[in-house]
Amino acid sequence: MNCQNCKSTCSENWIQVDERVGNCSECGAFRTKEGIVSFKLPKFNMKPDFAPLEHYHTILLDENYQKYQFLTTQKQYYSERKKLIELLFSTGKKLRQTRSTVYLAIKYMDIILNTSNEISQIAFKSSFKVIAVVCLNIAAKFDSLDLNAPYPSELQRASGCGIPYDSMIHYEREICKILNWNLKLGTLYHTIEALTHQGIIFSDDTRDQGYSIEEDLQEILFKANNLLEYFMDYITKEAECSHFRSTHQAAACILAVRKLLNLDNPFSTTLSEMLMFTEDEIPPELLKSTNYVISLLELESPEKKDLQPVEAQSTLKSNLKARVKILEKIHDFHSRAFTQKRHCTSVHSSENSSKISNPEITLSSEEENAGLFYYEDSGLQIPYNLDDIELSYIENQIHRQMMSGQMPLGPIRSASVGSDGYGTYKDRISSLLGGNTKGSTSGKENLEDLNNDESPLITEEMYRLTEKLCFGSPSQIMKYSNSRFSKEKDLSKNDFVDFDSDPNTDAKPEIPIA
Amino acid sequence: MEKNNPEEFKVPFSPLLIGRYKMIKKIGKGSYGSVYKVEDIKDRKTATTPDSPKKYFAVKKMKLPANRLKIQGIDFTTLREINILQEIKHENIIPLVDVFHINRSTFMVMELMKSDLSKLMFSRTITLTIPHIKCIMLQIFYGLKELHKNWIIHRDLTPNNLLISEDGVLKFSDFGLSRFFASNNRPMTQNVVTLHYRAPEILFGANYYGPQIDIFSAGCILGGLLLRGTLFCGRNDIDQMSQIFKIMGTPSEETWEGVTNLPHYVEFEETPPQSFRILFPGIDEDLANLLEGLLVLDPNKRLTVEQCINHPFFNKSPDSCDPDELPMDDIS
Repeated sequence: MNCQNCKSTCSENWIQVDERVGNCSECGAFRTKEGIVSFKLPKFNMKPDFAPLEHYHTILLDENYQKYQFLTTQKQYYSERKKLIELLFSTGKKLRQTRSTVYLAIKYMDIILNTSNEISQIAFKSSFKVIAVVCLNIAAKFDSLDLNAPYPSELQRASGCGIPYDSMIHYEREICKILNWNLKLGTLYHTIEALTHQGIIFSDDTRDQGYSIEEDLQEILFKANNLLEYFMDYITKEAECSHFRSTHQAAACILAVRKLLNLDNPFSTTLSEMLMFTEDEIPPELLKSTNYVISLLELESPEKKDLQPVEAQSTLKSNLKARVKILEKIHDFHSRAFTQKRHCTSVHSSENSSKISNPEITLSSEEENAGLFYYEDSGLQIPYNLDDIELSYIENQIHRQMMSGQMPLGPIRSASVGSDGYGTYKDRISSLLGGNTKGSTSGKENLEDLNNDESPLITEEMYRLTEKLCFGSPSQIMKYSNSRFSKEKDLSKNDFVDFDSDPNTDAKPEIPIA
Repeated sequence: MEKNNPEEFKVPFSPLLIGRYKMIKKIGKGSYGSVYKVEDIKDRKTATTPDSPKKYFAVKKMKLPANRLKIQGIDFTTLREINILQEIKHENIIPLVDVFHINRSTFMVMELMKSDLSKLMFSRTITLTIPHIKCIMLQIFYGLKELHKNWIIHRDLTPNNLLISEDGVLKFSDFGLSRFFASNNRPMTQNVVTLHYRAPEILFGANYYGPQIDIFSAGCILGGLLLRGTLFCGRNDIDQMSQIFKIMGTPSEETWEGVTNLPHYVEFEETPPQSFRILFPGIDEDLANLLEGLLVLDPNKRLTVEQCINHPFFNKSPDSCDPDELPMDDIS
């Protein structure tokens, strides 16, 4: 039997890792004894000397020796972690380091600052930056392209923080000692790489209840790759996910991707054979995290099916396009509001404020039918179909920020309801955004608030939160939404005319933290 | 800068390093730094009987860059070497005992070895028989198998970096240029491998290469063991390539797909490949076949470590000798 991925005859020469599974000797694709083969993009094809599956097994084995007792009490580090990751990505980019290096640096940083050791016990907020940059330096020396290890002066310049040379040297030695010179650590990036080189879509997969994947195989593979990259970045940013094994993180990402691709059996037996564990072994916290993302992008997620009545499901299903537009508009509005807010703060121009009060966003009847909850006066529209999981997540996020003093409290515009019967929901959303929940349902009554420069509009934190909700730029949202395609939607491709005409659709997705 | 502060980077070399290792003598020097023979004092102190034998080790002191501006803390070659030695535990890989710092220098404590393969290879007084060659090559392949299995390319496989213990066990050392190759989409440098053992794809400037470069180096070592000298002894990259092509034939798209697309590809005068049985009269067909398989120009057609170990040359008479039967006594 030929390898369906590279069309070569490798049935006799396939590299057998154990009795049942192995890799194609010509392209490295995963294959089972029964002849089930994985598919992957041509860029991942390689003629392996050793089976890539063996590499993955090495990662699995190594993980047993790389057990770190992560702390859950490092609140200071948790609050700074995202900023530090952003610093690592931006510094890495300036110093032309690879993503692999940056991911490794993040892993070192997590171990150093989030386990019990000599550094974490005495490290304080101001030294986090130095430690993060030193971690990048070590990762670059170990993993980066040859001879691409940056000099201290370059690191100082690129990271934008005045790191004393002696501190760097001191921390470097201490970090190496704490890591016991074991610098080859398994990261999510490396695990995903080992798996994507084998392929995560299999010849026995079907989608949309029995449709073959082979018709749109290239499209599926391309989207799978993009989605996987996106989930990888998402999981890396989540501090709560950093405790878990990289193989489990990778499995959660792959499962999410396969769900979004509408594969009939997202965690199939073949995938389980490749990953060497079952779905039950993936920590539920990880699944919850990825499912949360799916639930925002995927209207037919299992959670939704459980939570929504049947009628609501059908309405939502038929309004995918509207939903994408809504997300885009939220993003667009917040972007402008944030820019305006900054402008208003500095110039105090009433003209600018009035622009906000008269946004150019209009609602179509289609959108209204989609069940929008929107702020009439501001144009801010929020889909009412956020479920309880999503709402509690937003609540937690906002409350946490409020408690830590990052988000200013204050009134914003009151809201009106797009369609009746969602008052409770409206109140929740309104209160979440710091609005006047007791106010009237007419935005016009509080129009003065909008024109008042002292009234906080959308704060930076809120913008970020929305960005998180919307997952990056509009084009990115569209891309991921577009990735959820099916037979029915293919028929009405005009719905996505905007997305298809976007020349950047095929481009690598923008990584929000990079 | 250096002239103004000559003492700044000088390591105070006391005869007792970190209160444990007593300096005996300097035994080697290279681009990486210097190697000293030391005695482990602590081990003697904790020994149960006073007559227990002294324990000797080799301490490798990593060299500091001459230019102060280039000092970047722990050198990346040191970092990688320590990491790989820490990770790989195999009979044919030199074990790392300890790591410590004095001022800005890093010291690595390793097992003390008697000699290296170059002394055995270039000695005019030692006779190497086929069982000896089989024993040496098999040990090289076992070491390589362990490295490649762990996704490491040695990238500096030369007789100088293959140390031999008192009982003839061959051990890989000097992992400063080694790296992990698990990803096929990351460019690599061409500034690796000693010129005489460098694979043609590196000479042509390939940004992507794999463990096959170690196989080519192993082929050069096998050729060197038969020749009792260096097989391809070029003075520079071009000369090295012409020496390789004189024996292996000039590459073309037919024999090596994609060669013309390599960054530093230059066209050489067309030369047909020569048979190793003519170059080394008296060697049997299997040995010639193994040598050809190791030195194939196209890396994709080169033998893998597994294929080398299972090659018919090693399965037929005369069998490989035991490591302790290697002529070690004649090495000074």
